[in-house]
Amino acid sequence: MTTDAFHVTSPHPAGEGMVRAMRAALERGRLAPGAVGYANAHGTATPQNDRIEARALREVFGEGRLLVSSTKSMIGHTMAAAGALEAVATVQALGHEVIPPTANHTTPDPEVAFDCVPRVAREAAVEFAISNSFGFGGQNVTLLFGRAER
Amino acid sequence: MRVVLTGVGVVTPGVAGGRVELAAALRGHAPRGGSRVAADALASLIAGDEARRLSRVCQLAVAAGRLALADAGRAGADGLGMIVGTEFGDLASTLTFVDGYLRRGPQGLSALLFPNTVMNAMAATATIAVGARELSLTLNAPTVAGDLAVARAASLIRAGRLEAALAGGVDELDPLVDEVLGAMGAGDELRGEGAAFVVLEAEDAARARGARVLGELAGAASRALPARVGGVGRRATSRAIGAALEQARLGTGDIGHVFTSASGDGQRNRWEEALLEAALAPHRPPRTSLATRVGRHAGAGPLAVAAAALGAAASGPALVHAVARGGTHVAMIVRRP
Repeated sequence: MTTDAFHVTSPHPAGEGMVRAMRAALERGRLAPGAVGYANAHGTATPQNDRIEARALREVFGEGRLLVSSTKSMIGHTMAAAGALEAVATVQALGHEVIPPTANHTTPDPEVAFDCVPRVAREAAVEFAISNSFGFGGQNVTLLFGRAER
Repeated sequence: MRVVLTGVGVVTPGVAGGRVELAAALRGHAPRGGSRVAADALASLIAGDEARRLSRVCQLAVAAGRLALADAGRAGADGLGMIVGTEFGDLASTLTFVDGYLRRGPQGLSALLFPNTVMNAMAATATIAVGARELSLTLNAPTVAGDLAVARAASLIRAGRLEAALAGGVDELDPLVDEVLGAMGAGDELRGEGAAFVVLEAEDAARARGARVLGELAGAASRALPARVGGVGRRATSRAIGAALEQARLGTGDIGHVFTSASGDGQRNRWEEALLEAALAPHRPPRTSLATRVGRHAGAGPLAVAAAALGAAASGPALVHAVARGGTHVAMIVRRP
């Protein structure tokens, strides 16, 4: 968890607090960024937020390799329940080896340089995944999950 | 890791300040429940431009947070996180926001008010005001929100997740709240308003910067008791008190004073008495409830923590206890440094 202490509604333009949250989760999980294969994004489909989150993801994980999708594209923003629902979706993605899609994703944003799993779910075995949640006031939470051993 | 209290910030009716002002109020003219923080008192703490941008409850939080940090002598906010307890959030802004829709439909919805309809409005504005960047967390619960915030902050510091925390609670009086609570059977209790925050720090960090330590938060625990939503329960066994005592490595006979959350809600008061009797028997240390003086609000618990640290309980370690309708209860052990 981190906070931007920047603006009541806008995230820090460089995603500085988001970057710190993701790095803190990786550090606590003792993982290198390369071990993470999927990010369940906060992904509200508001251009400013999505671009800043993409910037922060790129800063932490590098460009391109990470699969990124938004559960909100399918079920909307469930407000206080969103983080919990998306955590469950992330765990299920790891367990079922299926990455949920970003629904209605037809026109890629050139500033979001990731494979956003457009429209259709994709089979992919991923060992570790993160789930991001960001709130008004610049509150940033990253949860890091690993696939259970079978 | 030991957690110590190094600062206090209070904005309630009749009191605005740090440890000195609170100690004076507790000795004599305590802040009064049932009344609102005077407009001129708040205006003296929040300047014009800031007052224009912030809702009243956010002003209370920002002012009390700043007072606490000043009291702690912390010049910067490095390593600082913020944990805010609130029972109702910015209810006044939320009601105005909804009223706009009811009167004028979608055109009546205010984009300026919308950010205040989320529960973390006070934490968001306060973290920006003081520059706390480690984390920002808002906890909602009836009665015990502020207690929970302090207990959670202590846990985060003890776990090494935070070096320092600004933790406390804030709420403001609202006639709709009184009406709803009265319908739930809690209408006799004294309600109040205000904000109270404490600064908690890892002892090593506090000592290293030469902070004046007010007290140690030696144990903190929260648990759930079975009770229906908005109701009181029958079980009188408190696991929170036992856990807090164990963390502090104290026995029931070591407790010299108890700060309760009694506020005039007869059913809830009796439940809390039963919990304390069962947990501390055969001992029966003297009990004080600040909420019967300042009124129930999310700052009352942090006020009790501050009062315990300030020496109101000079007879030994103090137990700060609170239980809510619905069953959330919190126990904290405060001892003097």
